[in-house]
Amino acid sequence: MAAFADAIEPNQDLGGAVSFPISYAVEEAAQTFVYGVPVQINSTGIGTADGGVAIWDGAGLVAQIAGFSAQAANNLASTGAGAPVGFSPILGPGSVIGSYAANANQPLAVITPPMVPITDGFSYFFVAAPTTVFIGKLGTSATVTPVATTNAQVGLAFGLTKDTGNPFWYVDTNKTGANAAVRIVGLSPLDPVGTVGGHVLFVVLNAVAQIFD
Amino acid sequence: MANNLMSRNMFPPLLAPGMRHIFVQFFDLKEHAPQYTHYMNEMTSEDAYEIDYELSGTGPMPLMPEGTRPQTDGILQGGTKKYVHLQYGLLSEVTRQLIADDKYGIIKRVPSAHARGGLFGREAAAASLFNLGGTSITTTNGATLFNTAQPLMGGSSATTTAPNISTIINSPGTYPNRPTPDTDESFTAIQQAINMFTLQPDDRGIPVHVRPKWLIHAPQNRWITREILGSPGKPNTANNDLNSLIAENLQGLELNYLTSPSGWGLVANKEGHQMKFYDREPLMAQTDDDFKTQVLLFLSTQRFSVGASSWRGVFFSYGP
Repeated sequence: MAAFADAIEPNQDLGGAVSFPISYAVEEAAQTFVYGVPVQINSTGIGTADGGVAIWDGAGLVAQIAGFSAQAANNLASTGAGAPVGFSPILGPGSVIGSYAANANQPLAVITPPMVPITDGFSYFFVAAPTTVFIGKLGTSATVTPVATTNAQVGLAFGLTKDTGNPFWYVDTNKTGANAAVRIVGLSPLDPVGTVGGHVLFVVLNAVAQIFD
Repeated sequence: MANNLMSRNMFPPLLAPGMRHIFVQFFDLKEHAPQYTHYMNEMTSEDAYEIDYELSGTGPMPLMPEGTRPQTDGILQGGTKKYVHLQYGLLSEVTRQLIADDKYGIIKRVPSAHARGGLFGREAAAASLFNLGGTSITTTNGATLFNTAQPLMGGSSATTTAPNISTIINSPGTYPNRPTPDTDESFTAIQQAINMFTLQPDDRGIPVHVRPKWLIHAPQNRWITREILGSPGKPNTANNDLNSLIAENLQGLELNYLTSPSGWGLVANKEGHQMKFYDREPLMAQTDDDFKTQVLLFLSTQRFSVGASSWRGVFFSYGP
C-alpha cells in the first residue's frame, strides 16, 4: 500500500491582488476529508444535489472540481449544520469535533472543549481558478507508486488519484486524454529534476473546474 | 444594484457646481438610535471565541430524621455555549479623480454610510435571537432559545419539586418560555407570559425570582402595546376593573429589526437574562489606495458574536 501523496496547495498566482482565491459553501454531511484534497460542490447531477462541499468523486470531469480543501471536514450530521444565515450567529454548538454529551436530561446539550476546531457549517477551499497554480506529488495509479519528474512533463495533462495509503491525492500519469483533470505547468524548484515522487506545479483544466471557467 | 467602483461617470452632477441641495440618504435620513444596547448584555472579548457553561444548584433540602444520615446531592452540569465571533466587512472603491472633483464633498463621507451599515449588522444579528430563537438559535441545554419545553438539568424531579407549575409545563422535566400555541400580543397573553416568568423554578425545582422588564414588539404592535400598558382600566372591556399590568412596570421596547409583525416577547433586566453581545473588534474604518490604479479603498470592518447562554429571563411568542 503506497502512501506518498501529500496536500495539494496553491503555489503561485498568475495575477491579481489576492494570492489564492478562497471560496466556501456549506459542508456536505458526513464528510471526513482532510486539508489539501480536491472537492466538489454537490449540485444537480453531482452528488446529492444539496449544495454541500464534498470530496471530489474522482470521476466527474465536466465542471466538477471546485477547488482544493483549505480545511479538514468536520463530519457534520447534516449538510451545513450550524451555518449562519444572513445576520445571525453560528446556528450550532460552534464545534462538532470533540463535543460530548453534557446531561442525561438534556439530550441535545453538549460540552465543547476549548481548542477544538471551530465549526461554522461552511467548508472553505482554494478555488480551482485558472490563475491559481497548485502543487502536488507525481505518481501513477498503474503501479500505485511515485513517478520521477522530468522536464518533458511540463505542458502535459494528467488526472488526479487518491492515494491508497493515505487520504491525499496525487497527479496521476496513468490518467491521460479524456481522464485528465490538470495540466502540469512546471516542476517544483525545491525538488531536483528526476526526483521520484517529486512535486509538480499544475492548474486545473478549465473544463474540469466547477465554479471557474 | 451594487456599486462596486465609484467613478466620475457615475455621478456627473457632483462634478459641477449648481446643485441647490443634494439629499444624501446616509446623512440626511436619521437612523434609529441603537436598540440592541437596551436588551443585550454587552461584553468585550480578546479571543477567537468564548465558551459559557451552565451548572445547576443542589435540590431542596429534605427532612433528616433523628439519628439518620442525610441525603446527599450535588450540582449538575448542563452544556456549554460557544460564541464564535464573526467578521463583518464592507469595502467601497472610489477613483481618486472622483474624490478630487466632487464639488460637494460627499464621496469622501462614504465611511459614514458604512457606519450605518455596520450598525444595521449589529442590530439585525442581535434581533436574530428573537427572529430565529424559535427555530435555530440554541442555548446551553441544546434546545432552541424559545421553546415550549426547555429541558431542565434535574429532569422530572425538578418539575415534581417545583410548586404550582402543573398548569404551566407541557411535559415533565421541562419548563416553557414560549406559549403553546403561539399567541398574539394581548392583555391575557402577557399575563400568561408573566405567570411563566413568575412561577419558573431553577433546574432543580426551586422557584427563582425573575421579573420581566421589557415588552418587546414590532412597530405594528405599538398601538396595542400602548393600550395594554397605558390603559388605566382593563383594556378592551366595559368593566371597571383596574389594569393589573400597570403594576408590573413593563416598558415597551419597539424593535425595528424583528422580521415578524406579530412576534412579541418579554425580557428581564440585563442581570436577569443571558443574551449576550461579545464585541471582539469594534467598527473600524480604514483607508488605503491601490498604487497602480489610484483607486481609493474605504474598508470598514467589525467582529462580534451574539447568542444566548440560557433561556432564563426571556420569553417570546411568534404570533398565532
